[in-house]
Amino acid sequence: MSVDADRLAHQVKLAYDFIDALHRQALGLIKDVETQIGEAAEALECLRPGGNYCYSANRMSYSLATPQPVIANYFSVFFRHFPERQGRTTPVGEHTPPIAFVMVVLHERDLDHPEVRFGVITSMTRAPGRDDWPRTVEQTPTHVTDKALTGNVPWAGRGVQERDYRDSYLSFHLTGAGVRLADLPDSEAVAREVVTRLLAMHRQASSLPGGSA
Amino acid sequence: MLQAQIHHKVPREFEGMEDVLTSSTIGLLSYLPSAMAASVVAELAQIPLETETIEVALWPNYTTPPGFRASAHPDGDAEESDSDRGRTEPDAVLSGASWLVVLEAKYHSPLDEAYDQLGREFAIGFNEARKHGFYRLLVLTAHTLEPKPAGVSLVQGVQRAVAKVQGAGAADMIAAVPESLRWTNWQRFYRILNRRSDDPGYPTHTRRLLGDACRVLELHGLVPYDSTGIENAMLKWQSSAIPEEAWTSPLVYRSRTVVSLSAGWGEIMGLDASGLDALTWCPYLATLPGKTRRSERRSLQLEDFELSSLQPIEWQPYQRGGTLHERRC
Repeated sequence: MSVDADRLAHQVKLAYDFIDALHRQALGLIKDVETQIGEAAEALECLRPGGNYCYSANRMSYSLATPQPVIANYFSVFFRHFPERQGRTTPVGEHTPPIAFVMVVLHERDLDHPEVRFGVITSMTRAPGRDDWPRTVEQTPTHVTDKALTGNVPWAGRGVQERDYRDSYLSFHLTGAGVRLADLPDSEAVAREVVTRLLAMHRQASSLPGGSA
Repeated sequence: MLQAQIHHKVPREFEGMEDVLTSSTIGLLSYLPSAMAASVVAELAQIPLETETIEVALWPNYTTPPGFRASAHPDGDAEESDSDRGRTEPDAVLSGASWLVVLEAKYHSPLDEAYDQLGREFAIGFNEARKHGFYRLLVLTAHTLEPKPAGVSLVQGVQRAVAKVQGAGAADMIAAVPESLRWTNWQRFYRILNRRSDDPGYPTHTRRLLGDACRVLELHGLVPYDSTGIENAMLKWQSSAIPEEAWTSPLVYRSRTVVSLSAGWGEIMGLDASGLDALTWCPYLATLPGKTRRSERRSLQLEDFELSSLQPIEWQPYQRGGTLHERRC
């Protein structure tokens, strides 16, 4: 059975165009949230993993031993309020400030619709007896997202999610919610459905004992 | 300057300056054909569209109106002179024969919580507009929703601020605020420019100018988020199985002919498919006759043609006396 060369070329172009559009959509939404929460009174700013202003995505394998498609299942970004211009990292310890997050989940085993998850992580501490990793919250986005924010049931339509997370590296409390990506057609919907609710969660977390932003 | 910004040839701190952004985008209106610039301003400022000449003045400065002060007066309540009050500089004043728009643009810097700046600019524009007629104070920011500095709406804040204006006419000015003040954002400005840059009805060099201004706004992330991109991509996927010719070839169903699938899409979608006879597609009747084209005809998998909404209809290539499938056999 041979492959129609023209058809293959057409399908490859379509596929790349679609993935490009899908990823741009996800990143555009995250940029929109970043702009909006940056303008809010809380003035939340992006954490910079590795010092870089970038998003996090699922771990991708580049191994030829077990070739896998390199494609992002999710994009996530973490935010906090930086009270001073100095000190742009966030130590993990007793006084870890509330960390807001926004992620666009495009593909997951039990996910029916791509969705946007957002919420606040509080009380992040290292596991007892562990003092080597993580030293800063900036080191953790991929770990936190892979372990605690993905892989369970979809979030959209299930109200506010509250859970405690603990593993051999760290522990934290998570409050969040989800909205289907299709229900966020424009910036106004993002403002109503995501940003306003996220800021309310962050405000509440900051007002709790030990939650000063 | 536009090109230097687009290619990151200027320092980052310079790129982020509000005045540079204003110059690269609002300043562009000076170089556009007058009618187009006027239509951009009319849409942005939500004023009646008029095709006429437009004057664009960036950072003009005026004497601060009585009642306001640019800086603290050393003599307390002593009578002020014009020079005591200092000067006020809106970001732009855009004017046509019968309207005047005073523009205050904000990017990184916040709106003044005391509303002093907007109050001064409103008063200046209100007085200047006596020569023009229609007046608008347009506040352009990067917010997605209308900002409320100090928790007060823009209209209320400016009304409180202009209440400081001394002399006759202050009450008229306060009453005019709700009608004359509008807020908009850079993202909406992007949408207005981008739509025109895509319009083949405008000259190429004008569209290029608009396109470059849009690139500058994109660099700053001042682009509206919407689902247009992904919707277009989905549409491309959905229609990918339809041969290109199908969109432009005559289409026959029952005894009727639709000019083409693209032109007749609305009509086709409105049909009760279950009551139709086989829908017949005639791609080659006029365009591809002759033996040399037969191999091309065979390469089209018309029997595989699927479109979820048209599935009840059997699509067949039109041929008098038989189908393409029969001919292949």
